[in-house]
Amino acid sequence: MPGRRNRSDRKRSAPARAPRASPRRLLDQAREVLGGGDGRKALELIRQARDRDDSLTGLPLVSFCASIQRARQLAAKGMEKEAAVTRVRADRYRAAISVPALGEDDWVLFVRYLDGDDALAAYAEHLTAGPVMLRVERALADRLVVERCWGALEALDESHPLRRDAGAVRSGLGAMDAGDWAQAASLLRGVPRQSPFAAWRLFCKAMACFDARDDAGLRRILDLLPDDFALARTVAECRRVIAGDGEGDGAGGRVSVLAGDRAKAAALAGELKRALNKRKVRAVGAAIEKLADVLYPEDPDRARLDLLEIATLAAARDLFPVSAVREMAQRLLPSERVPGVMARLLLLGQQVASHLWNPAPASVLFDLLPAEFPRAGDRALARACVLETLARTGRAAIHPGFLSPQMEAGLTMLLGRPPETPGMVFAELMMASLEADPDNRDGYLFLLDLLRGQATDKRRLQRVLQDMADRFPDDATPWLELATLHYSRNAYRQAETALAAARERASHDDRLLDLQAVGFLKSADQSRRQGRFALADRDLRRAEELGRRVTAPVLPAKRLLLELVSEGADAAAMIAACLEDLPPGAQLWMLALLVRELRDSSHVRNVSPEMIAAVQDLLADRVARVGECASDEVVRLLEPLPAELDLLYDDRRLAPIFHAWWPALLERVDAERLPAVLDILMACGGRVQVRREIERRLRGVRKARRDPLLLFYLAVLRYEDGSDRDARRFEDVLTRADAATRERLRAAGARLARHTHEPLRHALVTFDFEALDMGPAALGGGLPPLDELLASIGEFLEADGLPRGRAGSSRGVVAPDPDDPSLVERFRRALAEDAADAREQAAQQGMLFDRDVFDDLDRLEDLIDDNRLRGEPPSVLRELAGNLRAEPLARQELDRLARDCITAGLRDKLTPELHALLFPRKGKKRRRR
Amino acid sequence: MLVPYLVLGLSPSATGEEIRRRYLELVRAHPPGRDPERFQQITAAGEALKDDRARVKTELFGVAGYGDFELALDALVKAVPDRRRPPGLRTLLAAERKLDA
Repeated sequence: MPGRRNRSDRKRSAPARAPRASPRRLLDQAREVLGGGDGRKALELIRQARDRDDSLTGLPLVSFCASIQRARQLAAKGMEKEAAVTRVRADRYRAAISVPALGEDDWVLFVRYLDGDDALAAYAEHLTAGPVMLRVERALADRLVVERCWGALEALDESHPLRRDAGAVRSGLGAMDAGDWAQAASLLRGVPRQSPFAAWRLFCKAMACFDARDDAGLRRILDLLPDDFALARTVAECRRVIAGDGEGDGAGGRVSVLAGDRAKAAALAGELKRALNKRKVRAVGAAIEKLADVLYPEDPDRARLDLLEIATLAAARDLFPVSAVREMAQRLLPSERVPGVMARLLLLGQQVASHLWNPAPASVLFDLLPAEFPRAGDRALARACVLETLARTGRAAIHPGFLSPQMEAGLTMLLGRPPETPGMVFAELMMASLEADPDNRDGYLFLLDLLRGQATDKRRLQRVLQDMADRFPDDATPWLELATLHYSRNAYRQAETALAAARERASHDDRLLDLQAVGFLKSADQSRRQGRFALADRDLRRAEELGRRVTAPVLPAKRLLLELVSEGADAAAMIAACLEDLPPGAQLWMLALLVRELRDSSHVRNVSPEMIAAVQDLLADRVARVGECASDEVVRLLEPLPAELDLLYDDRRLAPIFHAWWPALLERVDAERLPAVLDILMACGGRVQVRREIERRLRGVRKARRDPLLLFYLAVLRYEDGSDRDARRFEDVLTRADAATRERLRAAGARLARHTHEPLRHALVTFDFEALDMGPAALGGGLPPLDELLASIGEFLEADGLPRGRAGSSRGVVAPDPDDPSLVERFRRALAEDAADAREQAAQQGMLFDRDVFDDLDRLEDLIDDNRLRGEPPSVLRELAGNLRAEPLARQELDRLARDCITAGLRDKLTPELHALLFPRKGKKRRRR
Repeated sequence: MLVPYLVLGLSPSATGEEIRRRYLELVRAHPPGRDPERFQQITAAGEALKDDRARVKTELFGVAGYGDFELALDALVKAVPDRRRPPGLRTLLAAERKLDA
């Protein structure tokens, strides 16, 4: 059995497969192969030709040229010894060449493989007896330009074109080397068209056209260049580039030297992506360096910074170790920039992996802002921008009530003090941002959004709105918000004033009329609760006259409720009569709304528990007829009320009222509308019912025909309740889903994330469930612990003598003394002012309900904050209340406020401090019971 | 983030007035009907640098807007002006020699 041959053996024996080729044919083949630059193959063909006929004409010349070519190739590979041996062999062949017998083609070949000096000397000798050979002279001109052996020209006569035109070409060589081809072309302008150097003049013009993107001119000149020009490969490359197919695609890796910057950048970016995906740190560093030079050669450091930021994005996605980013920053950037850049990169990483939120790096960055932003104005804006970004990312990532000690320490460093109000840290950050950049309208809107959620901080919200109104005088938004705020505090007169101001600025804004209509309904609600039925009727009529779409659905219920309460008739009979003409779905909706209204007013004297029970019974009775409802009617029953009615209802959800009938209602919902209903019930804490309904729907359905969306919901619910924590459940669903279904699942994941906890929440948001198998540490694990990173930034700071981040200065808090006479006096004075205001307002308007109890409560809240009583034990507040009540006027005022709170249904919504102050004894009694 | 500067063909030290002028010039030169992709690129760049606040934000956290590193890299490459810079003679000769070897 023959031995196995290796690949190179097979390759070398390839030419031997032509046994019938004549020696002449083999020699011609060798010449051809030599023209393509393959010296080794040419030598092999020559060996075969020599074996058959060693006296063949032209054999020494071709052998010499092939040997020189091979020697050059070996030398380029670093095989110097082999190259020297081949050269010696070439010299032997050269000695055998009969120079006078060479034709023009042979001469061209000959001079191409001789050294420049030798070639010129040989041609000069030939000219003494032989004819002029233009092609040979052109080849010699090429050798002169390539090898710069101008001294050899001495061998030629002074009038010879090569010697005559060499001066002009030499003067242009500097420009050619520098790539200034236009300049080179102008310097070579004196070279005649018949000159052996004429091709170089044309080549300079071609490159100048290439530079100027004159593709038509370029194409014309390239056609004039001879085929055997020294830079023939460059010419061919040039043709490919202008044809648009020779720039390299970035994936193959090879990019032409003539490719445009974008093609080069694309190829290098491809390298960088591959290196990042394969986590090859060294390759990433090398690719960043090369790519930066192409992206922005004017300032590669800038481009390096961008690329480091991009590597940080990969790090935040756990693709790449952030420690490697730090090392690269040290290597690629000037040392003084590294700490600032690292702080920026850490903040950047938090924006992508928001669960890593921590404000500490921002305080480091603030100290380094002068280096990052030399202009003072930019520094202030950068400060504001960082604070705003922290507030926005923090709000999206974590609940302000659950700040870790590490986060609190970071905030203290950033604000220079501990956060003042728990749960308000993001608002504090945003306020600090607006201090630095007060013209940020979007920032104001975001702050309003943050403050709106804080029921106890209306005074602060009002201040912010007033600031915004002052700063943006043409903007109706702050006035609209002010009106909303006043309505929410039952300050109708002030709300109307604010609405008028908003109307001046945006007279065609529909939101104004909507708000006014809702305001009338709110006023009617309050009058009804206070037993002022005539006023309630008037406000309802006003709302009806406005005819707004927003209030239309709830107006009949409000009217019915007023009649019910004012007439004291049999609730069940009256409501049943009103519902008669309505379809079943609308009846249920109206009843649910009435139940919600009555429950909200259950503390009011004119709403009896019997009345509520009667309406609930009626609802239970009608729900039995839910089978008559269509799917979309059931969906409407469970949908929350529109957001525009926020002022009227503390809780806009109606679904909880149907809690007992959820399974029956769910059965009526068709598959198309089911996801929306499931989401509503999830938001109402109905996970168990949702899971049961999904299981019911999947029961008996063949595996292949099960709805992937329901399977996805089920996987989420099972993971969340701990019954099945196998990440493969998600993968199973995803692998079976087509592209469109995957998009639906992705959207469902984003919705469900709100109702889940880490690590599932992160997996749903990123739609990557592999990490669930690896446990929580794997999520965003690309970034190392913040302490470690901050410590490393600190090392740079110390090493460079730069300032460290501000150390947190803890606030020296002294516990307030409720017996302190100055404290008691401050509260008494405030209460006396409230009482005087109340008397004056009552005298002017003759109506009590318009008195703003919220203003008084807010004033007390401010006093509590200003005197550092927030968070103190209730006993301290009760003791203070006792001291205040020793004075009759203060006691009356406190009692009045307590009564107003009960009337407005606010008693259970007060902060613990205010509750202890207004209801000191009642609280005690309740606890005793 | 260099992307908007590269798109507008300006240095990061360009003033607000220079940015505005260049933006208008480019928008006029590339109307949305003729080259919608380029127009979108220019308007996004203009938006990112429309005032000092936007400019500072872009410089600080511009990359975060892409969310994904591959998208950010693609945007960066797309923003690079497609300049042709023919290399010098020595580079061309070296490339020829490399191909020869």
